[in-house]
Amino acid sequence: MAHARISMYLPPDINPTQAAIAYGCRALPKLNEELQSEDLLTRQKALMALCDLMHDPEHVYVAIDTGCLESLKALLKDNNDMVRIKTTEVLYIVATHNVGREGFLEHDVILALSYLLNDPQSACRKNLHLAFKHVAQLPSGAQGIVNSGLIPSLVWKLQREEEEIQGLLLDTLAACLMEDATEALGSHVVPFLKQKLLSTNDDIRSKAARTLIAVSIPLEGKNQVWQHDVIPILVHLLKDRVEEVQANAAGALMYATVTTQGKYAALDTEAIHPLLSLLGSSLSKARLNATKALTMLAEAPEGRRFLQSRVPVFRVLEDDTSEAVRRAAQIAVKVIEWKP
Amino acid sequence: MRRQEPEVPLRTGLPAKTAGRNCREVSPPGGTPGCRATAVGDAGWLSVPWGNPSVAPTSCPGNFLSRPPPFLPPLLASGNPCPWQYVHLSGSQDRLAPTCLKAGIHPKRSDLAPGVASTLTDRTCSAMGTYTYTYTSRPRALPCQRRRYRDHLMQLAEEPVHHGNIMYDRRVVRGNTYALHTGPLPGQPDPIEIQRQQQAKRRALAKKRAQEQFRPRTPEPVEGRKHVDVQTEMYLEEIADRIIEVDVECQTDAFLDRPPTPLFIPAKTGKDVATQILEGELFDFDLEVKPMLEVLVGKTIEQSLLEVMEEEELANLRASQYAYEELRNVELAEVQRLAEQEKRHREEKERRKRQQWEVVYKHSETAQKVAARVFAQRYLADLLPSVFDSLRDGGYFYDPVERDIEIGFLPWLMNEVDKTMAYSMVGRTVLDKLIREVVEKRLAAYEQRDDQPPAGKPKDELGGSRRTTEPPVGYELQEQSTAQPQRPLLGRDSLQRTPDDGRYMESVLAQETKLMEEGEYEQTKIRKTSGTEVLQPRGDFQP
Repeated sequence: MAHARISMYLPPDINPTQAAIAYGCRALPKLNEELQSEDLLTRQKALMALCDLMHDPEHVYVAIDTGCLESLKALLKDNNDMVRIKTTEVLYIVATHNVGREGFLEHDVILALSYLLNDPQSACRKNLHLAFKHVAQLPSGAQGIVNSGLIPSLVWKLQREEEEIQGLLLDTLAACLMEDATEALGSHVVPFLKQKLLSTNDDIRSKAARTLIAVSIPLEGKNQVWQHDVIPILVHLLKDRVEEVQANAAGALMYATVTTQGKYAALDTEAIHPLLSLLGSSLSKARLNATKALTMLAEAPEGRRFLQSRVPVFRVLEDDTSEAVRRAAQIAVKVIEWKP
Repeated sequence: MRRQEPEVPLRTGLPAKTAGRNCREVSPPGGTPGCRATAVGDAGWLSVPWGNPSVAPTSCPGNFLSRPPPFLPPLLASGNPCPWQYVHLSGSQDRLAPTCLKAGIHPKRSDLAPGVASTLTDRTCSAMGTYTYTYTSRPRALPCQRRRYRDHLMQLAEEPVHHGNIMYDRRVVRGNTYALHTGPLPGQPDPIEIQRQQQAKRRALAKKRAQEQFRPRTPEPVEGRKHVDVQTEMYLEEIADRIIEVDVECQTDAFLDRPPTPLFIPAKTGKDVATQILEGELFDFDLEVKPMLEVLVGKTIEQSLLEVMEEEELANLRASQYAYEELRNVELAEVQRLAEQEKRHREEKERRKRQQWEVVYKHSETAQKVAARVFAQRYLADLLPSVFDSLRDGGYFYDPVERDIEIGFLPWLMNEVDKTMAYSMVGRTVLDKLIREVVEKRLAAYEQRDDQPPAGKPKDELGGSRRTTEPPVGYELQEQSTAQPQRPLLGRDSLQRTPDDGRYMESVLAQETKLMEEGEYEQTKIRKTSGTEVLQPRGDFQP
């Protein structure tokens, strides 16, 4: 049995890599002070401790309140790699919480983060892009990213980075381009995306197709998509073996065929057959997008003629489980049977 | 058993239970000492161990004390002189005690001894007739001292002699004889003590036997009668000499697997150190580690729970976001499609309208054109004649032949007339010159003639003057001919005349000059008239 005496020595340091977290509400202010210290080791330990604490939303709120973001911003420019990697990791964890995202926007962290786009450490860049991705999930966050003029550099980075980071970039871009795609269209995003559509990685293909959906929402995007001959590739992707890719490609086609040129380009590349086969897919998203795309194509007389023999298929879809698919099927039938 | 009693106080520490056992228990302790005398048939060996009583096993914690020593003396009295037994006795009794420490010689042995010797001799004679052995002590089977039944005072020899099994004899030394305990163990009492105890035992036994003899017994039976044992109990019991034998079978257990060898624990070397552990000093790891573990594990789990919850939340958010995005995309596409459709329809309508407009416009235009054409035709129907009339009146229409004559012919004519006139002028001037020359020459000639004969020169001069005057004369004549068709013949005639005739030429020339003058006048007249004629139409045309 151990003695009940209190030992004169301090308790052993269980985890020497982490700073000791003070009790209660002193934890975060103390860590904030440690972050600003001169000693490298102290800073690193404080960062490690902060990483663990930031998973709790309450701590995030307190941290932002006590101004941790400012010290973190200063640390982003530190020389030591470890410090930078950990700082970006902390910021990424903060960005997963809504409070954190709003703090980002207030304290202008996005701009500070953008200095690290060319960092030599790949872990640092990965965390950075993760942070951006999470910020972009929020509409105002996406707007913030667009406003800070990062889109051209992000699009440029799409060519250079490794695959994992490319996936993250595509996610970020998809979210941002939903907000405002004009800048991206001006920086050759469509040719880059076209390249990515042909990548061997399934994930990248599906994300690239999703980004294309966002790109082809505005009219300029649709025109560019048609100009760069992306439509044949999209039609080819409709027969891809990954369902997600198929669904996203159908979505992109759905937008691209709104214009007449797009419609005829799609009809020229025999898009109707793969779209019809996609109507039987298991993903509801795929069915929905395919129905919409066929509706677009049915606006054109050639498409209408062809699809008139396939109306029963759409009737079947009207009994689908998803509400949206049912509505889309009804609209499709109406369009096909329209007489001028 | 009676004889067992004295032994009990002698045995220290051993449970009484072991006393009843036969020699079987000897074998385990017998493992340590050397080999014992084994079989009866083993001829030479017996003598050896028994020959050296000092070598006899002494290592056993001598709890087995010899019982026979008190018995042996009476045995010998009756018994055969067995050199073995002799040795047994001759050897000091105190030696016997230690030698038989191991081999707890049973009391039964004394009974068996006499029989054994005889059997032994028999056996030796029979079994080893071939051998040429001589024994100091013959090998013989030892009688077992253990008594099975109560012994009678009258020793009935009919009882079978039980031989002891040498294997289970405690006295037989087993094992190695190197390290045998020769003397009495320290815990053991003195041999003197032992002796005294043995004597006491013997005395007690003798006393008992003496008492036994004096005990009243049943009187001897009368003559002709015999004592017979009779059972007086209620239930008769069959008594038979024959021992009820019951066959008991024993089956060895099934073979067991050889148990694993016990771990070899080497002998302890080194110093013994003792520790006294006080109460509460021992460190119980499990107890101590509990709070620390709780904290560590608790923190880790808490952290991981947080992270997992976070991730779950994010995943849920993302899933709902995707669903929302899907719907939004679809709706947006629908909106765009409808907008596009609207636009197209509108454009189509516009186009059609425009087309219609154009058609109508063209229609109206054509109608207008037609009307205008008709109107213009009508309007201009008599424009043409009036125009022509006015023009004709204005003199714009001319007779082409007349015009041609006027334009082409008359100027030429005038030109020619001019030329002719010029020629004639030239001719006249030339003629004048000629005349002058001639006159001068004539003058000169006349002056010369006055000086010289006039024969040949005038011809030459005439010839010369004829030559020079010819062309102009010809021209003049031609001019005259053209100008005045009324007098060509004359001129030609004059031309055709031979130039030889000089004088005639002179006269002609004179005539011609006259004619020329006249012609000139005429020509000028004609010219004037024609000029005036020409001028008139020209003046008409010009305005």
